[in-house]
Amino acid sequence: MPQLKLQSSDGEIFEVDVEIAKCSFTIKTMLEELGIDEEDDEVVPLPNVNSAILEKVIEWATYHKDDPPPTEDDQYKEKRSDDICEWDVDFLKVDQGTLFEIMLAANYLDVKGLLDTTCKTVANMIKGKSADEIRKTFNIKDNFTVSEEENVPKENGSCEEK
Amino acid sequence: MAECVVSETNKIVTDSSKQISDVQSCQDVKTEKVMEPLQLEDFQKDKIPITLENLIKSFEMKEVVPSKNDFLVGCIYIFMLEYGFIPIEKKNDYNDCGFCYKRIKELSSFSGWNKFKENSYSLSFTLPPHHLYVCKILCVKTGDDLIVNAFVKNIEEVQYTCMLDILTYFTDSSHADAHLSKLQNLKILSNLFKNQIAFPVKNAILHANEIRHPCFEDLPIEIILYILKYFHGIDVMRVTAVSKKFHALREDVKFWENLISRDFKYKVNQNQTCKELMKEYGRLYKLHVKHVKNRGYWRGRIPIL
Repeated sequence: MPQLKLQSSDGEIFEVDVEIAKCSFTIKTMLEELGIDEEDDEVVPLPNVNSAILEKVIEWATYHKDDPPPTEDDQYKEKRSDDICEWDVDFLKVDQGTLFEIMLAANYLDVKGLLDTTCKTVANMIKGKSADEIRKTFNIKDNFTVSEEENVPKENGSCEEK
Repeated sequence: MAECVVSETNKIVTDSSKQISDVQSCQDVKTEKVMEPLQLEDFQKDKIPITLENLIKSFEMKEVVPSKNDFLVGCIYIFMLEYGFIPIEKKNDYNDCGFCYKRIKELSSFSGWNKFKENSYSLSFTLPPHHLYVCKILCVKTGDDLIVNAFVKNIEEVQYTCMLDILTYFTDSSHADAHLSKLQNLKILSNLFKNQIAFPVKNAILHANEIRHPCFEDLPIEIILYILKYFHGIDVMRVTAVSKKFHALREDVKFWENLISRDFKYKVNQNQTCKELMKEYGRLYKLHVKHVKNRGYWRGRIPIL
């Protein structure tokens, strides 16, 4: 199978099947536009992705290489987040920093399936939590001033009370 | 398939033999095999990260038989390296805090942690190039727990603690010395330590230097909007009450109009403000809750909170 070399931001080189690399729309376009041939033995630099994250992305893409291509989304349709496949759940049991880096890489490399599954994971971390619990989960500083802080729960409260 | 691999190897070697320096690097690529950067959390009996091997070598060099807590503190040292920190003794040797596998490999063979008393340890790191902010990690063993405290010099409010139950990470519960073959659950250890100590400390130092880092707040707007699509209105209200940046996201009339039509199949009157639409959402939600309670079912999939 033809191979492609990908270089991470910290200089590691990864050899990947071209078909697997092409699940990244960014790489696919790059190959088509630059006309890089598999025979050329060229290295594709990915300056926005470090080796730890690139390894993760390749691992994901290798496992999902036979998935059907992603369908176009209907933006008005409600999306489910409770349908993450078991392998992905296990794959994404990583620390938050790594999770966000995988998300950014999926966004940059345009790997739709991976972006979906990471976004669902984060969505599930948030669902059903109060604002305070969300702050705690993600270590977010509360930066409302006192008067604004009074306003926001009020704004929410009028809608939330049952 | 096998033939193909062999011929490709040959090709690379012949090509690169034109330049001596190339030979070295290409052979490295070949011999060190693809997908090399194993992190400590990838540890399994059949693939032991080189960083863990280095850690064990550093025990051997000191002629120490590591105890369980020695081992865990060694792991903490490597987790910090994986997050871009470097031991303070080496602060002038590196100037970048991004993930760099080569640097982690180099530093993992350097023993950057001290045992200063029986059962208590101290580690000091900096996050290059921000050497003003020294992160000090103190580990104390009490009973079966290892208590880990982290402070940052020059940032007062930063102080993080986590407790590690030592026996979780070894297969035998006796108090004998630790051994590689008895190590387990490194992934859990890694997530716990990185989430509670390394990640917030790194964020605090970078924020103090006004550098953004991939944490939830700093994800680009398009990704956050993408996540919001998985929520119904009540969760949107809660998450947008978290901080100013998120609060701005709720001020979009179109967004609430869509949400109401999606969740309740209801078309709202035009020209309403966001606040009015949020109230409208709340009203419909309350009706929905009542309806579900009376009838016991609902066509949509909005759960009751």
